[in-house]
Amino acid sequence: MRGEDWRQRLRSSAPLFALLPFLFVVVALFAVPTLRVLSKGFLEPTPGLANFTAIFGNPLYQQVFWTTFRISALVTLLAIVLAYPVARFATECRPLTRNIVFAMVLVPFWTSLLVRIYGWTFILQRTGILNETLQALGLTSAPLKLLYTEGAVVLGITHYMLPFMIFSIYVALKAIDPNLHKAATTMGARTPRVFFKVILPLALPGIVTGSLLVFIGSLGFFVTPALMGSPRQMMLANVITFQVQEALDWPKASAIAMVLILAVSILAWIYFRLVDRVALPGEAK
Amino acid sequence: MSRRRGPPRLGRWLLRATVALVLLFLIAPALIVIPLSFAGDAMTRFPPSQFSLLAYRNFLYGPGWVDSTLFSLGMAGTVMVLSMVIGTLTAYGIVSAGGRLKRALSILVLLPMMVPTIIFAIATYWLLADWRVLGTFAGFVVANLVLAVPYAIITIRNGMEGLDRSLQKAASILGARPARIFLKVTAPLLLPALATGGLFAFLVAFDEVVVAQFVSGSFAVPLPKRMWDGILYRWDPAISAISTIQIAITVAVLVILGLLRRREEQDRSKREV
Repeated sequence: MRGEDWRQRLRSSAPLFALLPFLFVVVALFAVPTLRVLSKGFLEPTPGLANFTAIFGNPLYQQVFWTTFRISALVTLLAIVLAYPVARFATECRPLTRNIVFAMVLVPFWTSLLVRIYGWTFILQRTGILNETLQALGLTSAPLKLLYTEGAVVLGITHYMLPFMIFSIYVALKAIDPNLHKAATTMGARTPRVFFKVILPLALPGIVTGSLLVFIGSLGFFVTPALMGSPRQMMLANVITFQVQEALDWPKASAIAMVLILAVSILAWIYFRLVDRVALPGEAK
Repeated sequence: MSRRRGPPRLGRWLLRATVALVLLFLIAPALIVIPLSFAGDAMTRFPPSQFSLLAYRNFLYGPGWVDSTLFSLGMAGTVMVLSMVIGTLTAYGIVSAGGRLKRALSILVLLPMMVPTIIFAIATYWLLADWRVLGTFAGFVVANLVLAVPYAIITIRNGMEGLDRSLQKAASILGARPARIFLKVTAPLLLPALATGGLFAFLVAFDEVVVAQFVSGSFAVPLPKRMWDGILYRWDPAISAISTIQIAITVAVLVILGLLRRREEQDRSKREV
């Protein structure tokens, strides 16, 4: 009897024991080290907010904050414009076509970021395919500087983020009852009107959550600005790296990291509030 | 039929053209890199005019490329196995939990995915320095496990939520012990999700380059870090070759995942019949 009881209790607490390895990973390997490095911004060299007043007062960092915001906003806008047609098409086409479209979205998505950047440098460099084509068509007489510009960085990050936006909008559009569109058309609404009055309001949740995901992801981007941009396109992550590797100023790096994580946290909080009604990824509705 | 569903004809063609252009944008880098890897002449010319395996020869015999590839394969493979084990345990814990705990855990799982990698990278630097594993295989496994395990947990959990509980119940009524139920009933049904989660974890660890900037050592240079140095400091045709190999691997993995999903769906529809 007592043995049964003990065994029962062990069995019912088994799920909690199963969580232990993950809790170790997320607390000991992730949360504690992260909080520890962030605290350097407040504690070193002397406790206080000196690092923060220093970075906010410095025009160089103000420039980096503004660049990061501007590039992330441009990426988000570009991603909406490029993703909407694909998502729309995927909801309307036949299943086989949809699978092909999704395959063409997923293969680049899971392809190494370095491979993609390597490809882009070949397309964009002075003697690259884009410049050669432009000159062959007589559109430009001399090669344009395309690589190591803000445009290149926006292009590179958009290429990485686009699938997130496509799937966010697709999920929202998929949930729209196709009869709505038909009903609106039957009742005499013209295409633009149907779009603005019927489709857009319903697609908006997908566009908003997709934008938050893309914007959050862009804010912390490191690889693309470093390889496809010039020092003028330094974003927050690049300046953190610079502080750590060149200036050896960990407290400043931590303070900038704190600003970055604060921005990301606020946006992530909004994101979770919005998807509250929808369900988290991996959560059955 | 299709007239009723879509916008008018001209609009539909415009939509198709736009979609084609966006998809071209997405696959453009791959379209460039693959022919480039077989180019014999100067690497700056496109399209290449002569066929050569120079890039692949450089990859095989050039300094460090093969070492880095083996290092990355071993590291990502280890991360994959650990992620599958922790992923299964965690998914089981989350699925069994209820209400607030379940929601808190779901957000906790997403946390390492939401926090910018750069912040985790500088944090890990100190952790690995304390443990004296900076620039080692073990250090890379620890760092990449944190980044990769959420993908495994989410995927395996999705698989578990989709499991048909009545099968486990039936096995239990028939007198099977829990361990036997897991091995004979649950595990085979879970296999597609398990494999998918593992492969995602593998790809995440194999591709990681931000943390690698901070924790690499002279004997532990993962492939993406070596590619980074190649792109930034010294052009090497080997990069085209290894890029093409990686694209091929990605396509192969996605095809396997597609087949697994198909099997899963067939299983599900069979059960419904």
